[in-house]
Amino acid sequence: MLSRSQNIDLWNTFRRGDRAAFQRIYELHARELVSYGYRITSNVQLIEDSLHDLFIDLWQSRENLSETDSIKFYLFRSLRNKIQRSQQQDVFYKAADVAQMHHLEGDDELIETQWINTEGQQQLLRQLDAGYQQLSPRQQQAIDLRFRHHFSNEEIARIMGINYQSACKFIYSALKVLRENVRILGLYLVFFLKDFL
Amino acid sequence: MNYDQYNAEDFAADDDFKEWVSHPTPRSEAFWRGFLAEYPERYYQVEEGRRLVEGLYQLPGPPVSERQISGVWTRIEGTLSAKEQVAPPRWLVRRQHWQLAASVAMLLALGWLVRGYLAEAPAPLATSQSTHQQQWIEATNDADETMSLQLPDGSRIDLGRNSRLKYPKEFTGSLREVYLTGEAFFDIEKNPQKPFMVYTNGLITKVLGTSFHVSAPLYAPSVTVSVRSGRVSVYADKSTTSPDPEATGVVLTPNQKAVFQRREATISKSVVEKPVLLIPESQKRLFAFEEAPAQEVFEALQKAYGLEVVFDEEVLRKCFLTINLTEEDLYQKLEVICKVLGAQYKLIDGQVIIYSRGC
Repeated sequence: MLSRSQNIDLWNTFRRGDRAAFQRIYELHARELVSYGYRITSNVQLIEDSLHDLFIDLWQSRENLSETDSIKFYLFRSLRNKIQRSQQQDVFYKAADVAQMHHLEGDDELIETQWINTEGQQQLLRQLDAGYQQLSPRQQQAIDLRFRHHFSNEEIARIMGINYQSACKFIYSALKVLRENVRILGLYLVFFLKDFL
Repeated sequence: MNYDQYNAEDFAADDDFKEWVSHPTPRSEAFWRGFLAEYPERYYQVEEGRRLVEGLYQLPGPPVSERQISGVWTRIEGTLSAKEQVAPPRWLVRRQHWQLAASVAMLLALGWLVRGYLAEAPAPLATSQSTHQQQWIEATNDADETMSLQLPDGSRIDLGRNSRLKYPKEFTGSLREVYLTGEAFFDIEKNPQKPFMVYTNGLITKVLGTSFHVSAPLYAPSVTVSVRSGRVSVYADKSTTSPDPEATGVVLTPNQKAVFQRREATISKSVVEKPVLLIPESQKRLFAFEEAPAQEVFEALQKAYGLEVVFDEEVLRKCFLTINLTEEDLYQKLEVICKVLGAQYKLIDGQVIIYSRGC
């Protein structure tokens, strides 16, 4: 991860028309943008097209962009806007939906967070995942933005285009559901206390 | 903050708590340890909150492949170079770059049933977005050899014998539309902003920036579209009755084909007769395994041919394979693998389905 000042430097270099900085921004954020895209739509083509358009716009309007210390926030919000606009306008993407599984590649190509290793923790993750699948798409989106992409509640509200209270509500109600899946049994507690103290 | 009243979800929803769990600093570490020392009865809640934060970060996310990321970047560079083409001469040096921009090739060979149709090229569709003021050029190839054409967008076409292509002098609308009777080979300039549409008798083929070919024996009641690489959308031309005909079509990925039955206007999806390896020659590895889990073999297969292989991981968990099938084609590979596993396979809807009772 880049520090705050590195981020600002990168952004300013890019704004002066540096193609390498532009590519670096893409490489730093493309994966999580695609990953986030899946929370808005299951349509791979739409996500890829929106990502493409987003970076074309970014390059072309670089001279008019203002300073920012959160490139990531800017990109997430723009991507969401692009996807939503296209969904409303273009019926073509509906047809591409069936192809969404195309990008499932062999394991070695997946960019994946590491799973924790011990069996107990694996079990915990499976339970949590089961709970996560029960959430509404909007709840999943908010939870992802918060815990996977590390945005603050305030930023999540702005990315999703909802007010602060609604964002907090989405997150809180989702967490309430999920808590049931991480309930501590007596046995776990013993381990935990030992680890922690 | 009345943290001593918090339960797990309150903690997980708290920015400071989350920050501590995901990016602990000496300061936050000291704060939360101090808190727990003071309120030991909150251990449960803190631990559950921590599990939420850590667990939700580690949940397997949607699959994002490197190929996808580099693919979109190639597209971005292509689009930018193309745009710079029209800019001042200094950009002209980048011409090679532009030509590298992924180009699309397709072979179209189409038969027509209704002879009456031969007399006239199909009329532009009601939904067609090209302007009525459009000037059309019609190329007819009566010679014995294929005829090479260049479209206004730089796309190249080899028109087959006894074939005819109708295309606009300029692609002005939001789509690049051409009408074909007969057969042709298309090499399409990629332009995501302007999809390329080929209209033929009853069938529309839409290029999403990919390569494929369409073929139908003369007078045959069906049209077959086979995809070599990328993604292609195929749907029946019923634009007058359905507001979104494409939603009733299919999207094809490499090594898949669609067969369009003209009379019933139905489209079915399957696997091409001769699936090709999608991995570039340079990256081609041996398809050899020693005591490898069956899952690994199927995943390699899936990657090599871009076709989804559906199997039950649980059932195959104890299956291991030692094989070398580098020279064999997809079907031979499947035959051998299934024989060794005592399994069977079927091709359904463009996917490979493995039936097994385990090992």
